[in-house]
Amino acid sequence: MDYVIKTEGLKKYYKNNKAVDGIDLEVRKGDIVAILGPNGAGKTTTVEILEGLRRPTAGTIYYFGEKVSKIGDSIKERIGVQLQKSTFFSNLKVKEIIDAFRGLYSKKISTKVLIEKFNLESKQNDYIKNLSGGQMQRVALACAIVNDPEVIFLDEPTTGLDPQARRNLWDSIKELKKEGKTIILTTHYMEEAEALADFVFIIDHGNIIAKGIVNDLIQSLNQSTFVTFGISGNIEKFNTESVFGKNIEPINDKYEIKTNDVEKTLAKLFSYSRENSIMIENINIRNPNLEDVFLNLTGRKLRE
Amino acid sequence: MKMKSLAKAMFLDSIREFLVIFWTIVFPALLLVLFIVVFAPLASGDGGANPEVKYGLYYEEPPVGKVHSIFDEVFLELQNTDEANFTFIKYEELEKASNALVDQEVDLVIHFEEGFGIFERLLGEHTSVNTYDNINFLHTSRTNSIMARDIMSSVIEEINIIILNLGVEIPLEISVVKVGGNGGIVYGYENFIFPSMLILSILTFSLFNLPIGIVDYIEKDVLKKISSAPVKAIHYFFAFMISQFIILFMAMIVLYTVASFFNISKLIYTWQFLGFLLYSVLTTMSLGLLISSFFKKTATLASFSNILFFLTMFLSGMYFEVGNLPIYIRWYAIINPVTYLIDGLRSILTQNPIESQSFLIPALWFLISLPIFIMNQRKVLRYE
Repeated sequence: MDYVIKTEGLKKYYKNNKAVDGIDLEVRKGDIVAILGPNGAGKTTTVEILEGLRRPTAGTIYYFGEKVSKIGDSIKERIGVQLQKSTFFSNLKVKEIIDAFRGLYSKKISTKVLIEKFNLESKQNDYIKNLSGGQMQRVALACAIVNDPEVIFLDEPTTGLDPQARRNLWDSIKELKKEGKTIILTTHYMEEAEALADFVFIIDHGNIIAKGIVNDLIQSLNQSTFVTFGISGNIEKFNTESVFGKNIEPINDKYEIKTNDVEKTLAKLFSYSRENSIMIENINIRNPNLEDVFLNLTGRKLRE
Repeated sequence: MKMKSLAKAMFLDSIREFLVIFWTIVFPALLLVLFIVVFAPLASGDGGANPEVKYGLYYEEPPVGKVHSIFDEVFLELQNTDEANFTFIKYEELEKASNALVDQEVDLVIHFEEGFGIFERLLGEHTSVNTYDNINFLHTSRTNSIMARDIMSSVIEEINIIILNLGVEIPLEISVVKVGGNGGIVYGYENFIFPSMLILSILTFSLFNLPIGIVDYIEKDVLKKISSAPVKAIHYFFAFMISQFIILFMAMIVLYTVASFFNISKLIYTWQFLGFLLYSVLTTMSLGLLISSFFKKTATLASFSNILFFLTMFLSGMYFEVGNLPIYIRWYAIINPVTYLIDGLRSILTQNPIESQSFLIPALWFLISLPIFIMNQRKVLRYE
């Protein structure tokens, strides 16, 4: 298999904390790989080891098919990094900041091309500190690829962005994949991983608890579709167990039914509500997702 | 190339920061103008209330007769004036009087040479001799000494008029001897304050710009981002130092430009002065690097730097004499490297030799601070 990055037993221990505790990663060329997990799971520490920003306590790293003891300049020339916190020199203009980072690499893409690629033409003479969150992340992405890297690390690139800015950034990331870049993305948004990733590693407490293609992971749950709804009217008559047994569960002020036959379940629900003068409202039908995978594995939600 | 690119980015980032420009470049220049315009006239005797002027008197021959009584009267009158505190101290030996002058116990020595009594005799004999060159003024380059010399010159002129009124056209003439230094320069207030403003700018660079810049780039993850590129810590450090040195250099240029408009000694352009200025920059810089090793947050570092800055500035002789401070404060002035750097710069302007401690104490600080910074450089200059 043509892996650009592979790790075996990667560990990073601090005094009282096992931030990364034996992670085995495999990243294929041209894939978008998502490292999914809650805050503090060890996602950032893992990618920062691979970026050469932290030294592992133990473990082996293979880059471009070769075992490396240290992420040196020759590897850094071939990778691009977008950090979780994108605050650069705050008194520089967009064009100046891209120029500054271009100056750090041997191979470089022209500033003009980068500005056009990320639709920053109208902002190129604006100061970094005056940009919106979405614009800032686009600049950060431009800076991450100034050296035309083969592998790009994106550490929670859409955290704090509004939905529109998030989707715009997803489009940019998909464009990079089309160009043949390998992208390693950390996120705690399962929808981001579902939308972008070819392969997902779910990590918790410094360990990989699941890995695979998104659909495979979800199907491995062997779970039903979820029907969520609210009720009003004669609600004291609503006896859930008598109708749906253990497949229904109250969630906040709503109910969620797990079912393998959505049509039949809905028919049954409406029939019951008519007979008991109960109003069914805000019905939502959803398929299982990575959140359910994580819930199934850990008993916790991703963002708890 | 990498260092140039980084240094340019860091320079632009700093130069566009109002606080950096104001406190490093604008403020010292403004203060220099303000001090010279407001205080130089006061220091030269054009203003100010009741300056204290001390004269040392030395007679080679015991003073007698009419002329002596004229001098006595004038001295007594001066002692009783409300416009200044004049004190006259008699010395038995010229050497003792000279030493008192050098030790700043008196501001001017009036030396009445042997033969001054001849004048008394001639006064009665209506001689044809025209002048007598038998009073010497010994002064130093201190502002007070110059002021004392000028006052006494005016007094002698007055005495000449009194003598003339007695019907004798034999004016007293004075020879002036400068003690200490080998030139004829006048050490005015401008020359006193100019080194202070240079050091003020250097201190701002060393105690604020350097450490806060280093810690701020760590706090904002700028260092982390740069570390993800193929850049060595040493490149990052030197790029940062170059960017900050350029700003300090600009501050020096502005101060020198301001100086050119005032009556400041041309000695500020000598290699000796510029060399000692560079020595001051390097030694004070090490203090900034030292404190950057111990702070992770700019807010706490800025508070510490402020306290250190004011202590170091005020207890260095930059603005006032620190030798007479009570010991519980004076100890800081004694260990303060800036005290010696200011002394060194002023010594050059007064053409006196730079004392060894002006090199030694700052060098000690440099030798202590730099190794501590180097030991901590992994923490300071690297992300992990």
